[in-house]
Parts: sequence; C-alpha cells; structure tokens
Amino acid sequence: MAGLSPDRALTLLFPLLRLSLWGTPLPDAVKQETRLLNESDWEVLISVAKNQSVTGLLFQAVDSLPEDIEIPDKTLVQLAVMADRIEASYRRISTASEIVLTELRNEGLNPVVMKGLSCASWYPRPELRQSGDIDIYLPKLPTKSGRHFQTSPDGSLHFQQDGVDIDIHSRYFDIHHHTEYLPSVPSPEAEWMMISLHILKHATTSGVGLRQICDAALLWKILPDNSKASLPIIFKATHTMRWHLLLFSFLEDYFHIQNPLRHISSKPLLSIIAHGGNFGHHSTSRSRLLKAPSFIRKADTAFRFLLRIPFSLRFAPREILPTIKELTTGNLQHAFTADSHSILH
Amino acid sequence: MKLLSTCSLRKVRGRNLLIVPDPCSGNPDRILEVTDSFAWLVGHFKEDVFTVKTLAIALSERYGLDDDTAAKEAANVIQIWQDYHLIEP
Repeated sequence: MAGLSPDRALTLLFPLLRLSLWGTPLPDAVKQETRLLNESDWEVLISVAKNQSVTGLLFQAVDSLPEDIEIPDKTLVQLAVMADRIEASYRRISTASEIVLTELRNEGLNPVVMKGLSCASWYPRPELRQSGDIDIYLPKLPTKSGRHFQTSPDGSLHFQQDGVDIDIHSRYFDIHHHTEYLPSVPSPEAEWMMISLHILKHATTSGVGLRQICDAALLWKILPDNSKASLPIIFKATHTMRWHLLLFSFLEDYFHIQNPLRHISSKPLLSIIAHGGNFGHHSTSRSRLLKAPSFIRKADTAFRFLLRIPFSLRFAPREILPTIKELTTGNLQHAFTADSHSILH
Repeated sequence: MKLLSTCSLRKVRGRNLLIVPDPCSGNPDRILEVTDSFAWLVGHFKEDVFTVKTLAIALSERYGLDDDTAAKEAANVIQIWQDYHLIEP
C-alpha cells in the first residue's frame, strides 16, 4: 500500500485541527483512515504539521483521538517532545513579553501586543500555539531606551529580550490604501483586520501557514456579533472584499466557520498553503535571517513577491504597487543606513 | 535533593512520558514511560527540595502506607531517580 502523500496528509490535517480547536469528532471515514496510518505515514503528517506550524495542535488532536485508534509509540514520543518544546518556548516568550511591556508602559507608552502572542489567548491551550517572536504596536516608536535596536526594511524596530525576538511596529495594519476606513486601534474590528490583512500580506509574499488561518478561525468565532455585522462594510470601504470572500470561503470549507459572505472557490488559498506553508519563514529565527547577507534576504523577498503576482492581481490588486514601492524604498533605505543604532544611554 | 528542573512530564493518551533533556543541547536525551504513581511523585516534588523522609510522608499520605513500607518505597524511588540521573548533581 502506497504511503501517505504530503497532499493527502494536508487533507487529513484539517479534521484533526477541527478536533483540537473545536472538539469536533472525526468523521467515520477519517477515523478509519487514521487507524490505518503506520509510523511512516505519521512521519509525513508530522512533517506537514511542522511546515504549517501547527504541531502543537496535532499533538492535542492525537491526544484526543478515540482509544481504539492506535498510535505508534515513536509518533507519540515525537509529538510529546515537540509539544514540550512549544510549551517551553511559549513560557519564554510570555515572560519576555511581560518584561518588555512593563518597560514600555513605565516609559509612558501604550503598547498593543499584536499577531502571535495576542492570538495564543484565543486557543483552547494557548501554550500549544507555536510562537517564535513578539510583535508590539506603538504608534510612536520609543525615544528613550538603553536598548540596542536594529531597524528592519519595513521600518519596524527589532531587538531581543532574553533570547526572544521582539519587533516594534508603528503600523498596525498591513495595507497601504483607504486606511481612513480602517477601525480604530484597539477594537475587535481592528484586531480582525490586522490578522486578516497580515495573512493577505503573507499570501502575496512569503507564504501562509495553517497556523495563521487557525488564528483567523478562532478570532472570528469569538468576535462579538455587532463587530461581525459591521466588518463587511469595512471590507468594502478598504477594497478588501475580494480577499475576504476567499478567506471566509476557506474558513467555511476547512474550518466549518459560518461564512458571513458568499462562497467562492477557496482553491487559490489552499494552493498557497499547500505549497510550502510558512515557507520556513517562521521556523527561521529572525536573528539568523537578519544576519544573512542582505542581498540574499532582498532577493528572497523579491522572488516570493513576483511568484505571487497572479494571486495579488486577483485578490489584492491595489496593494501591488504600494508593496513594490515599500519593498524597494525600504530596502534601499535599509541598505544605506546603519543596520543598528543605540537609542540614548 | 532536587529533581532536575529541566525534565518535564507529559501525559499523552493515558501514558506518562518523562522527558529528560541533554544539558548541553537541550534536545531530549532520554524519554521514559512511567507509571501514574511515579508521575505523581515527580509532579509533586518537581520544584521542591526533598529527603527520603518527606518522600515517605507523601507516599504514606497518598497511598495509605504504613511508616516502614513508605520509607522503603521512598528509598526505592530515590534509587530509581538516581539510576536514571534525574536528581540534580
């Protein structure tokens, strides 16, 4: 019998993710297929989950499987070790986050945690959501600090706290146009648009993993009804409706979310997810990426962006030119200014 | 005595796995499947300093053992922990 293919493993991953996120029991056909998986098949499934940065959720799903589904010992141990590491990383990141947030508040600033760490709180078990770094939003970047920052091409400040990568962003939304229609920060609507547009940004550049999609699915479930009702108006005003049609169709098809918009084919997004997940972007520590030769980073970004032009033309046409401009000017500025600067002290 | 602070206990599908990392790499060095009672003891004393006596008291209270039996069991447990290098040097 042929082994499990990566494509088949991805298909199998969705009901397992629904099991761990919502407690949805596996359909009978999936249960039967899971029963027949051997050690090599589980290796493939784990590899796909790792690529999609959802290993913690896979562990949780496996732990919840009915007792009559036998899991190879090696698989259990592998997943247990991975879950252990993910939890240890979460504890490190949470501790570092507290230190940095306290420091920023003591300076009279009002930091807002965004992306990864803020998403973790939505999960049934936050400690099993893979996070690599901390993203903080500050409309005005800090001016007094003993810290040694590096400036990224997108203008964000990067530093480390106890080995954890921290990025401070002065921009909350990954969008360049019609920003006057975006909701005020912080708000549930703003949080949705931030998460959604961040996924879109990745879909048009470095690639999207299921972890980010899980974030969106969980957030949509907990959003207040009045926020859900008001968001389509914001989608229209910001010209992101086409993107949201795709995203919600994907969430409906694979996460069984109630779609507030009309259904379209979710294949374009599935294709991006299937072909590489997070492209290893999130598995590469930021500090190593920043240390890589500059031309490699820039060539990599440019290549990925060009690869996604057909997708961008369909789902985010207004973002193409501003993104090219941002990538070009951001990288040129970055190339001609010091890579790091110490702010005061 | 203290248990290695880096070892961690994980229950998965009803089985208790004790993960002991390599001190240099942090990668798992040993993974042991342990019983529920062993797992309980590790969980109970993970952050504390213990002696044969404190271990015996805990065993006696949890399992209703008499003093002699509890003392022997405690000594056995500590020997196992030492054999598996689970006690901090």
